[in-house]
Amino acid sequence: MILTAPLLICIVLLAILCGTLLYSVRLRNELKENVLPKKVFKIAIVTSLPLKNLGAISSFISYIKKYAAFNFEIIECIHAMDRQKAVDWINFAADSAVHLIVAVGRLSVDTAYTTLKTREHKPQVIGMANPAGFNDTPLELIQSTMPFTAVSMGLNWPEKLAILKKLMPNIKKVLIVFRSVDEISHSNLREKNAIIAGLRKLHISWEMLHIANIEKECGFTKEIMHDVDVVLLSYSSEVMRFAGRICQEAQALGRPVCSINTVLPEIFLSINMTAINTHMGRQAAQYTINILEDNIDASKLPLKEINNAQQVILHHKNTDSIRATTIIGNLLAQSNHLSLKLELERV
Amino acid sequence: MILISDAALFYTNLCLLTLVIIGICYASRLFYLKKQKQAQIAFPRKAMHNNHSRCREIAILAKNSKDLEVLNLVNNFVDTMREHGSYAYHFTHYWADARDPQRVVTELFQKQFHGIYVVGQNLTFLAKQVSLAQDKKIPIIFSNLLHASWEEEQEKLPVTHLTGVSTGNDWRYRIKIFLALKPSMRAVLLPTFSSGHLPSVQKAATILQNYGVTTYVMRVHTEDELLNTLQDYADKIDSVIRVRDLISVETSAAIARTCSEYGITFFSSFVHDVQYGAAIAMSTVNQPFGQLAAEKMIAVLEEHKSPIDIPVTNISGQYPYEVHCNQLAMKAQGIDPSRIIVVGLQHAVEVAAVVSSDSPNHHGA
Repeated sequence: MILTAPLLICIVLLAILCGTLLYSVRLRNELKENVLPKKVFKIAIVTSLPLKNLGAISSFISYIKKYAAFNFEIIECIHAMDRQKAVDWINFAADSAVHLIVAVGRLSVDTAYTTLKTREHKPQVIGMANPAGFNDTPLELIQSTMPFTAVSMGLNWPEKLAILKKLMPNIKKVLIVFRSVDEISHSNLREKNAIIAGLRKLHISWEMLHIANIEKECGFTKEIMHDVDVVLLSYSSEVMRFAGRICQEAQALGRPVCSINTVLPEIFLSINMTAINTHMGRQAAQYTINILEDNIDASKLPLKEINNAQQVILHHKNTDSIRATTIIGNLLAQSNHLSLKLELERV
Repeated sequence: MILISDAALFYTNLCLLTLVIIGICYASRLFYLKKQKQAQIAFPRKAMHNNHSRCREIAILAKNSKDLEVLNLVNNFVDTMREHGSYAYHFTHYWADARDPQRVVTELFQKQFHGIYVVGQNLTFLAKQVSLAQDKKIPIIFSNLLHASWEEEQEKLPVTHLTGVSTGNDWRYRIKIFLALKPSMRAVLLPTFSSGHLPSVQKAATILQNYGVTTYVMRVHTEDELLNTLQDYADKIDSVIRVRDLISVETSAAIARTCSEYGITFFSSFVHDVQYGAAIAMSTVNQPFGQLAAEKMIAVLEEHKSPIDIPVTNISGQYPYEVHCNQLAMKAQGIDPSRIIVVGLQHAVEVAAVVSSDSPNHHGA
């Protein structure tokens, strides 16, 4: 065996190379956690309203800022209830290789599913809406075709109706308002069944009104309202957008309106869960951390339904003082703690 | 015998040499990064004061770490800074719970901060004094301060490094609601911890006296003294009003217990007190003190505005009052819960309660 000088050099260099590589690997492992720049995840939030106006989104962002170990940037995709715009935003988000789409609201969730199911590259999707947003296509089916999970608000109509009955014990008949255009919707049928089951259990009769041209008028007449005690606004159909006008027309005929909308001051009695948006935002953030940090596929995460305690809000100025007095009295019997929001004017 | 041509050896060596150089370069970069990281850990202040650094140190100074309202306010401030600010912020909390506030503020000014957020009137004025005494004009953003007191203080000793969010004195309206809930009110104890609140409490006492109510304004120094005073006056008074002094939750609960024992109505200025046994609590809720203060801090630190150029925001009268009632405590403390219906119909726009379909009937409980 002849060992020439160049061969010796070759062996020495090889040894140095191995040493350097081993040292580099050790150093890299040490620095990986702290020094090297972290990957920035892109999250697209598809919604109808600006993010600042949504309690769910602000709690979502606060939560991931506090608890997530990754860096992220938010792409705000506002479609203002325009389906075509929503489709464009979803396509844009998928083309921009975002890591996660958070679809907020029924239209956003529905559009995200219909747009992405035919695409080859499907980003992870978290839906955040009421149950109606997912019911038309069963969640299992959506999850089998794309990486999708959802956080939903439990409507829990039987409990709401039981509370309504306790506050208005003399209630005999309820008028339930839907839109004609949503009549064939599967989610609508589910909600109808839930409401009817709740009413039947409480021995309250009902009548359903499908409003055809809700943009112009509600079609309330004295005959329809004859023996109705309360007008109930459904949630799955899009009557909620016109809740203000429905309340005005119902009040003109002396009938109070009950809804789950807690924001509108025209609604006489609102029954909805407390802090529901905050909890939905937090749960969606928890799922985001599971998907982006723990690498769990969205389709492996189950639908999470949030059910909190029910809060009753009474805007007593929308009815006569006798009925208001009765209901406040009944409210006193139901809860130890009451809160009154006073008028802004000062003495 | 191994026969290797010179050319093959040359190219092999060349390749290995290139790889070694690349490896050494890569290892050097990693080594440099590691050293830099160690330098940051060893000398964080040095890195912080570097003009190119995007990290800002903020001190948060507040009286009571156990008070939910203060905690909410501080959380809102921190959340807004993190959400709306483009720098990285690091917050250090200074709670003057059971310690001498002067010592806490002095300790704070011994360290270096880019900005200070102060909650409460007394601490704000104390921070102002210490900053002037030590000649450290660090921007101070305050909240929860009476606007009239702030104007008075500025007239006495004007400063340029303070701004913030103030509130007003709405005793007239609050007392009107208290009297609507308890028309039989005859004698009231108004204890206060701080000399800063004393003029406001005196004003409340004057308004009550105009309604024919006897008032006892007491300056107390400790929470035990407050409880002792309440017991001493138990046979003279029928109501006690907690002003916006910050006291611990335990003391609130102790006041409520004493009030229930002697049939004295406990009116509080903090809505969460109804959970600890106060009959009535009245306050404005969801006032964005923390958010507004954070926006001012961002304007100072990121837009390089001087605090004097950022006006003090007085949010008095912009947010509605909420009255929270605890029915069981009302009964124990001498108010008929049906007064809620009267006040609700006359003064409220909204009546709310958390109920469940299987909630027990509290009427007559």
